[in-house]
Amino acid sequence: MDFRDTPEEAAFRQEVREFIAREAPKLEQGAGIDVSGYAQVFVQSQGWFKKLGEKGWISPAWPKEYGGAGMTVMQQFIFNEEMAEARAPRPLHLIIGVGMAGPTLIVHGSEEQKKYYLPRILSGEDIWCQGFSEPEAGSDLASLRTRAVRDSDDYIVNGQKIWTSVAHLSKWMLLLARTDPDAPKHRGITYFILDMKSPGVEVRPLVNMAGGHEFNEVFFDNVRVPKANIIGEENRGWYAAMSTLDFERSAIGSAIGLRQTVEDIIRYAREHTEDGGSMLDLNPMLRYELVDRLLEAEIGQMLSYRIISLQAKGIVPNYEASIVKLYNMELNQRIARTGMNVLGPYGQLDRASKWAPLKGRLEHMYLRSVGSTIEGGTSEIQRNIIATRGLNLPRGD
Amino acid sequence: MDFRFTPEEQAFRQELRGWLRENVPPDWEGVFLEEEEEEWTLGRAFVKKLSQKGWVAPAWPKEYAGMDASPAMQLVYNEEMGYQRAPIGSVLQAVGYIGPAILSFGTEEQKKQHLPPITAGETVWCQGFSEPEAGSDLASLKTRAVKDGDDYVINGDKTWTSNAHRSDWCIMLVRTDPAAPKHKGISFFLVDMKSPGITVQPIINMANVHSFNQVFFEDVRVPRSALLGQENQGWYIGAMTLDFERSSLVAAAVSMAKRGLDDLVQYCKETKVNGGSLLDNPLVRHKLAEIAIEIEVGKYMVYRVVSQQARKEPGSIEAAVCKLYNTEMDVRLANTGIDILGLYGQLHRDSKWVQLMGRFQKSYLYAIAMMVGGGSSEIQRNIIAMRGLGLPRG
Repeated sequence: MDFRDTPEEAAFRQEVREFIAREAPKLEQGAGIDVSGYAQVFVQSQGWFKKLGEKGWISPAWPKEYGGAGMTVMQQFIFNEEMAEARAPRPLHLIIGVGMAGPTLIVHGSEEQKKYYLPRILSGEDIWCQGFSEPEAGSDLASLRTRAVRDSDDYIVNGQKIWTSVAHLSKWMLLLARTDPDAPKHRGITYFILDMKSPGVEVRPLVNMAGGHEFNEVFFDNVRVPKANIIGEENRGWYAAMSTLDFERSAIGSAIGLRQTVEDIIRYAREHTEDGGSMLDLNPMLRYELVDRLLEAEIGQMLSYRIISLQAKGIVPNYEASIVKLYNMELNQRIARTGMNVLGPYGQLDRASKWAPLKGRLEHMYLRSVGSTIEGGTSEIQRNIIATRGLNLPRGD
Repeated sequence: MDFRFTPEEQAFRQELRGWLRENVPPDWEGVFLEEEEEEWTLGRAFVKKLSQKGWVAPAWPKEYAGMDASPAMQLVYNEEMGYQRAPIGSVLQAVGYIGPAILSFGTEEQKKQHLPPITAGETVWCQGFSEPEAGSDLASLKTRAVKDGDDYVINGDKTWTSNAHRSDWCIMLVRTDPAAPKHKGISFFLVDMKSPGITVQPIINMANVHSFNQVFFEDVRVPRSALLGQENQGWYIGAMTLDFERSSLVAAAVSMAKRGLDDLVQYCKETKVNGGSLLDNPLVRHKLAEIAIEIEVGKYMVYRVVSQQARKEPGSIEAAVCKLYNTEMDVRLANTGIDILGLYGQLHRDSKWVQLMGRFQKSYLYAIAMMVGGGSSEIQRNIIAMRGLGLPRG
């Protein structure tokens, strides 16, 4: 076990670090890691995103031939680590395009599809969304009911998706729809590219408790999708959706973000005095609580290291990735609660208030983190994966 | 809603409290059952004394040396016995649910034979329910009784049988009809532990104490008069018995927890650290406050059950809630004590450095067993889920 960089890794780290220090905008609001606060970040980061794009660093994992940087998993890890440490803005609006649509097309797409869609993702021209969850198909995704029926060279789509992030800003949707209702449920699903401007698509906002418009409901009423928009083969969509490029999956960025937030809270507690002492002098319970959070953030980071160590050895992480997702997202909520304890009533102010401490980040985190143990596979689903694949327990009901 | 006790109940509380202060030995550590040899001897002598006052079984009818006490009077009794740590562990099972089962289902002969020696402190009873492959799923029990002339012949084994090695009698659930659905082929027996063919083997617990046993039955012959109630009706008697068990043990346990907390607060007050007392430490204060709230909550859960019994309302989930919450609270109290006492808390009462007579060490080792005995926490949660929330059977 050696946590140090090799000379090549150290050189790469240095390059990334200097580039970020030189080019990344120093934003008042910090990384602004959420869609609702992102609009301002987006405007202020245009030049920066362009510079990232020139180096292929918008899509560090993609092969160079498709405009990526072709980074090894270790390089991606270092890149993500440095971006997170510097709180450098990332092109969040491209997250589904770069993280999901691109890799899926690179593996399963036709040459025409790759040629058309990939450059538009990288240029920021097209925003993508992901049409998976439905009102009665979330954790049990394969039960989805949105139907696509063949009609000469088109399919006609009817049904509904829900919790669709950034659907209202998107040009394209990665759509999972049922094409064979008689087949076993995993084998009757097809993966489509759906044009969000097609007639019959209706997007309705779902405003979350943090006040942000991120989620949507999307309704399809006889929406025509050309046959050419199938990714891979008909009725094989489930398998295409479940496999993407083998890119870096350590979630190191979020682990570092959590640690930084704990450090922010500690700094705040140290600097704020009441009755002649800092909160930390007056309230020993708080000291212990902060120590617990810092310790947990360290554990979160170590769990990321384990993933990258597996990947660097060419092993595909399995339940280990579920542990990272589960642990970090539950920690996210604990840190938010600790933040609320430390900040007191001020912590409950929106970032627009002049009294809001730490740029209102904790207020937002407290409200937003509730969703983090649901999206991308709930904590229950992660525990089931760990139980069945990690502990070899029998599958539950 | 009136939480006050009547003048009569208060007078009884005062009388009992005064007597207990005089008669419970001051060096008696008294937590849970009196399982070690000297504790047992002391406990049996104490029950005899209690018997002279007529205070062994307040819930029983007067003709069997009880007090015909109302549920509220029983509550007063249990609270005082628990708080003063009266050494009545050797009769808890017999008084709390074995006697009541005999009172409800026994013949006149059975009542006359078995009840007076219990209140006189002469006989000890144990409970032969659990088997190696039938615990939470008790109805799967396999010990068999086969009719032979006027007798039954019992073969099989029981386990986790507390105090079997000291018992004169054992209540047993035994399968009498293997062809019937599993709940309908079980009978309830009152078995003389001196019968030939019974072997008792000790099971030593984590506190290094011999309390549990495995009991083997090899062609044990019992007369027809050993059957309680009707043949194959045993499951229903047993289920009712378990309900008695759940409600009878908890009231005293909550008061004993309160006593533990009071002792712990006193200890913290007297223990000097860095020029102040332990009570100046905010962490200690918060821990004590937290557990104080929990004990108070537990107490009102007991009161709810008592108030239902007083109104003769059929209970539903309340006894299960009470058992579940309070046994888990006891574990948290033990953890709190162990946390606060530090390394001293881990010493046995024989050590000259021991604090609070080693009670928290003992609680720490015993409390987790209480979450299993008398229906595990999981079983209680299932009962609450099904009867209380109307959820389907899992």
